[in-house]
Amino acid sequence: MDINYAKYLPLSEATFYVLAALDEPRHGYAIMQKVTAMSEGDVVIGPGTLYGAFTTLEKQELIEKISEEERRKTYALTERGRQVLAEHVRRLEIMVRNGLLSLAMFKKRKAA
Amino acid sequence: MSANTVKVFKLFWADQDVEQEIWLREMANKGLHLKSLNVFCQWTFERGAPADVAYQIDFTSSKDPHYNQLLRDDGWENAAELTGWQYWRKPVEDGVEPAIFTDEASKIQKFKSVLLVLSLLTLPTAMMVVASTRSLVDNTPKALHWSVLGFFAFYVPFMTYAVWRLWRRINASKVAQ
Repeated sequence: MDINYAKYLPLSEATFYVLAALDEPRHGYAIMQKVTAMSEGDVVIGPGTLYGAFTTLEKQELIEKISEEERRKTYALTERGRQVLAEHVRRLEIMVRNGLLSLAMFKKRKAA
Repeated sequence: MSANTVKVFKLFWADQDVEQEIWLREMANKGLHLKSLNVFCQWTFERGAPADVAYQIDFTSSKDPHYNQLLRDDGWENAAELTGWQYWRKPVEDGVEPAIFTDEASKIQKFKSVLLVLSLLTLPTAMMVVASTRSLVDNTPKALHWSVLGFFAFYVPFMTYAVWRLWRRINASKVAQ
C-alpha cells in the first residue's frame, strides 16, 4: 500500500495525540483522559473537537469504529493510521535532532 | 411565573457565542441558572445558590446520542436548547474554564454549520420577496401587501446582517489560526 503522506501530514497536535492514544482501542472519553495524561497537560481535547476529529479521521480511514456500547463508540487505529503516525514520528525525530543541533550551535557560537 | 424563576429579555447575534457564555457564567455566579430560552430571546433562569459554572454553546450536537454521551462523560450538562443550539454547562474547577471546542479549526466548523442554516433561511426568502413583490402589489389589498413587504423589508436586511457578522467571525478565526 503506497500512501500519499502529503494528504495527511503534518498532523495537528490534537490529531497526533488522538492517533497516539490509540495504542489500544479506546472510547472517546478514555482518549480525552489519555491525551491529557500523555501530554502532561499541554494538550486538552474538548469533546466537540474530539468528535470532529473522529469524523475526519474515520473518513480518512486512519481510525475505525470497532464496537459500540451504551452510546459509546470504541475506536482503533487502522493500518493506514499506524503508517501515517509512524511517518509523522519519523519527521518529528528529524525535526527534534535539527532543533537540538541548532540550539547547541547557537549557544557555542555565542560563547566563542 | 414562580418566585424561583427570573425571565430576562436579551438579544445576541449568532456569532456572539463568547458574549453569551460570559453573560451566562456571570448570571450563574449571581445564583441565576439557565433553565430555558425561547425564540423571542426570552431567557428563563432558576434562582439557586451562586456557583461558578461555565457555559458553552454548540450547534453540532443536536440529535447525536454518541456525541451527547461524550459530553456527559466529560461532565457537561445540557441546560437548554433552542432551534438546534445547545447550551451546555460544567462547573469551573481550579479556575480553569472547561471547553467543548479546544482548537480554532473545530470552532470554525461549528460556525460553518450555523452559517449554512442562516443562509438557507435568508436566501430563499430574499429571492421570494423579489419574485413576488409585483404580484403582491397588484393582487392583494393595500394594507396587507404593505405589511407583508414591511416585514420582509425588515427581515431580509436583518438576516443578511446576521449572516455577514457570522462570515466575518469565521474569517477572523481563520486568521487567528
